[in-house]
Amino acid sequence: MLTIRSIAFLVLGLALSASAVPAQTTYYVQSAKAKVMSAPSFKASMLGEASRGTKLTFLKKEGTWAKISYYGKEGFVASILVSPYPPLAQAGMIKAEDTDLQQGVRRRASTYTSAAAARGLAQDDRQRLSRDEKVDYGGLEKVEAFTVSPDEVTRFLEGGKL
Amino acid sequence: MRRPGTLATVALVLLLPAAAAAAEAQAWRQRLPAESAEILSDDITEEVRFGREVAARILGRYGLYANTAMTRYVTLVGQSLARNGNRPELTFRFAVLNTSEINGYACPGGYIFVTRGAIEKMQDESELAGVIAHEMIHVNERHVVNELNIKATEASPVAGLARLIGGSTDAARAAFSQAVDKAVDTLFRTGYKREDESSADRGAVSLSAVSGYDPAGLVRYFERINAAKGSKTTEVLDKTHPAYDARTALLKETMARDGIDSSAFRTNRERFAEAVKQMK
Repeated sequence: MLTIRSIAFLVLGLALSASAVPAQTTYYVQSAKAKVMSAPSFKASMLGEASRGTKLTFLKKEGTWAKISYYGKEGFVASILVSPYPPLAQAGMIKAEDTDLQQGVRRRASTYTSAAAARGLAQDDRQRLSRDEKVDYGGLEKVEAFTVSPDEVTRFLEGGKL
Repeated sequence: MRRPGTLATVALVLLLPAAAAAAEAQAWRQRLPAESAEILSDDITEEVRFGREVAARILGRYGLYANTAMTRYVTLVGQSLARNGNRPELTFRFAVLNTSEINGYACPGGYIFVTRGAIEKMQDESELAGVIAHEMIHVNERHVVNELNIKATEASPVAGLARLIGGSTDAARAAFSQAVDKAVDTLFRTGYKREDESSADRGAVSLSAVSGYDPAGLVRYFERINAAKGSKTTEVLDKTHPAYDARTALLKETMARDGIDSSAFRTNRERFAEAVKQMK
């Protein structure tokens, strides 16, 4: 016959085991493609190739690799190719912010003492930076205006046998 | 003494809330990615806005190397690597800085710079890819944002940044400027945390390899610029980065552990040689 104490232990044990079950974390492939390897090595055999957005069950991290479950098989992907977030669409450009940025620069000297939230720089450091550092928004716009097409990247990859 | 039936009922009553709580926690975990993604979209906008200002400062210091052919080549190498990154939401941009100083810079949001001096020290495409990959890992792992010591929330690693600089009040503008100052100070004077540099080196090995580039390119490049250590061209690099013997040792150890045989990967030496002719 079960005693009150043994049932209390049973209840406690079941409750603890329910909370101790490791969460199965879903990871998502972020890269265009991710090779799933049979071992954490580039020399290992390839089990398959997962495309961007594929859900993988993350098991554990092993060095620069993530051990995952993929279609019921355990395998490894380079951990730089996956993350716990679904892949997002590309963020758009923030042209409207140019004015804000320049206002921010103009305001810096007069308003910095009112901002308690930012950390890290002493007043001497800030004075040194304000004196030494210049900004080049024209150069920034040229950097942002320069693009290559996806086809050009594909041809470059093919040309370099990558 | 109570009967077992009564005790079993008590046990069930006690267990049900625990089971319900576990189910609720599991359901929350399942919902988390989608909710986080929503938060992340705003955070990324702030990350890019912040990165643009840091990039403008770097350009202000060195100037843009206005050579379209070289910019195209560096961008194509960078975009080849970006296909294998874990930040598809970012539009990575690549440019060459007009200075003989040897260095590379990464700004939040995906602005990557390599100096003309660094390219002049390189001998093949895998070396350039290794340097760009190292900088991209700084972006992907948000190392500059980490340096700001903003407490991240569980929802997103950069939610703290958005909270700090995302407002339109005077205080938010000032906080934004101060955060940019701190980031610039990290890049030019104090350097990243040593563990972030190590993480970027290990990540560069992975990113180079999955992209088809020989990860030993970064080793060769480090060994070459180590010879120039102490000169004017490596002044910023020397004070912001760990010693090269430690870095090359870490790269070799990572390559050995990951089963990387250099001969199975590309250096594209000839294509690099052709591209740098444009700099002459």
